[in-house]
Amino acid sequence: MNIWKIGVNSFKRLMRGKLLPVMVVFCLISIGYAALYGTLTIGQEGKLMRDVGLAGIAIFAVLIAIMVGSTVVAKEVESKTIQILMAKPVKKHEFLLGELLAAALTVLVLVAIMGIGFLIIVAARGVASASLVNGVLLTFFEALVLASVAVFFSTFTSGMAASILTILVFIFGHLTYQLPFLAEKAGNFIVKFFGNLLYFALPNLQYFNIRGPVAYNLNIPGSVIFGAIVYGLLYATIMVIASNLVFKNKDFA
Amino acid sequence: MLRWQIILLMDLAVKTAGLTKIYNGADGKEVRALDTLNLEVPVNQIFGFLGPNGAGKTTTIKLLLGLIAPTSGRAWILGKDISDTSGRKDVGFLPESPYFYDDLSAFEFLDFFGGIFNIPGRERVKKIELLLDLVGLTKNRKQRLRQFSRGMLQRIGIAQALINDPQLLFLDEPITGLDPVGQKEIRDIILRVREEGKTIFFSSHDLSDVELICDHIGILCEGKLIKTGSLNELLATTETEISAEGLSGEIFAKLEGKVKDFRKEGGRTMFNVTNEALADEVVHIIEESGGKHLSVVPKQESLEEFFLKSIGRKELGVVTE
Repeated sequence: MNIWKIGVNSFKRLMRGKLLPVMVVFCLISIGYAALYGTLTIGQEGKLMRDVGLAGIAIFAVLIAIMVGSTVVAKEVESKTIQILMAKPVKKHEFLLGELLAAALTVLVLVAIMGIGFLIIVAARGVASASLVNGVLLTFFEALVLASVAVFFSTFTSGMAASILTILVFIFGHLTYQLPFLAEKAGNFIVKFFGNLLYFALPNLQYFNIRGPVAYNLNIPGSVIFGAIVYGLLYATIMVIASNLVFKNKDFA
Repeated sequence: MLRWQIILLMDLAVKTAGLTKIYNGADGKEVRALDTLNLEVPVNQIFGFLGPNGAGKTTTIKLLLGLIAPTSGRAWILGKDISDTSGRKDVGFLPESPYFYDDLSAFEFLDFFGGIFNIPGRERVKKIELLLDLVGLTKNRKQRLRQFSRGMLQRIGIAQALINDPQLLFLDEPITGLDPVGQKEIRDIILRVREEGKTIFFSSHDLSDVELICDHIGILCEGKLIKTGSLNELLATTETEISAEGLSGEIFAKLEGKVKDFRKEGGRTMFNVTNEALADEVVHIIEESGGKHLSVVPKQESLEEFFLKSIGRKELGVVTE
């Protein structure tokens, strides 16, 4: 129960921040821009709107996840509010899970607002498709993975450093699927070893990228969606376990 | 742990055995923030934990609350090992320079911590109203904490520390940095809490406050406990001041070597003797030789004198009851 209470308290405080609503407004403006831009492209209106709109949501969702994930724990540690909380009958893993829950709820609410806004606009333009919902759903799980990575980094670095490291993970996470191939090509044992190590350690964020098929309104098998969700949940769980291993020996001096 | 050991611990609010904390300093050298602390704090007391800045007072409190891990040694609060988080169910804590969730209102802040202690809804609201009244913040219940003054933050901090009706309350420098009005308000709250039979572990370097409200004290210096015991016992009577008149040269000759610090105030002569038995003898000499003694007043050492003497000497022999 402590996990839920800590999560809801942090979520409430996050939603009171000014930056998040501003980001949502900018995202909705970018979706509206995509809709306008689509009207200029004869015959490609639907494809362009779906592609640019979904990309806009993904960018803002990732930014929000990194921002919230890297600060939700770090802010409590750096501002020392954690001292009062941990002096109560609260276990360290309850605190960590509560803060991750707050980050996940924040990302969920904001992705939902942006997703619903996007669906309304594309539906009004008559270019909506069922696969758009899947696109938004996987965007949420990509953001969840990145939030958990940011929380992990923030257990041993500052909030700022955690943000930068998570952005790097985001960049390499979209390139990681090429690593085994590149490592194989290199031929060097050491390069091959580290290539494979990174491939397994970094999240493969391409699992969550279905913008191409969504833009072209192609049928996406349920197994692909389900597999990506399971992968996302598993990766986030591993991050929570790793965070807890670091956090359980941490002093709140 | 054996059953008799648990029973012994139950009479103690805090017990530490060889509690030590060593940090790695910036220059790579070890810093002993707390060195082999052996401390016993009885229940139902206000225990003043004294020491200059950097003595290890806050480190001790953080160790007892599990916020930092000891390098070695053990400790128990209310009979439970400090590693057991359930032991904190009956504990309240106000940290030094409190940092709170400044985007919550006073009510929301207390409601959150009430929830952590699983206090049911209605009871929680009632408890919050009582605490807001106790700390004089009823009118500010909807105000966000970022709009609070330092004194108001200290008071809401005490309210959150009391939300679970704790048996043991840790207050880390609760009066430091407050104006005289704020200091008195906090002191009054502490005394009211004491009346409810709670044990208060009060860390401070403000000696006048400790002298006013504490029953027991411990003095920490450079991570070592140098004195501990009841305030009355530690501040024992050291000298007796005698005031007399009509003293002749003959009497002065008889008193030589027995008294010290002669001084004249008005028509009276005043001097000190080092113990009560000697005071009786001196009074007898004065009366027998035709003089008149006006008063005999035992003088008690002030806490400030005692404290400075203690940290100056850095004695390691612990005075216990």
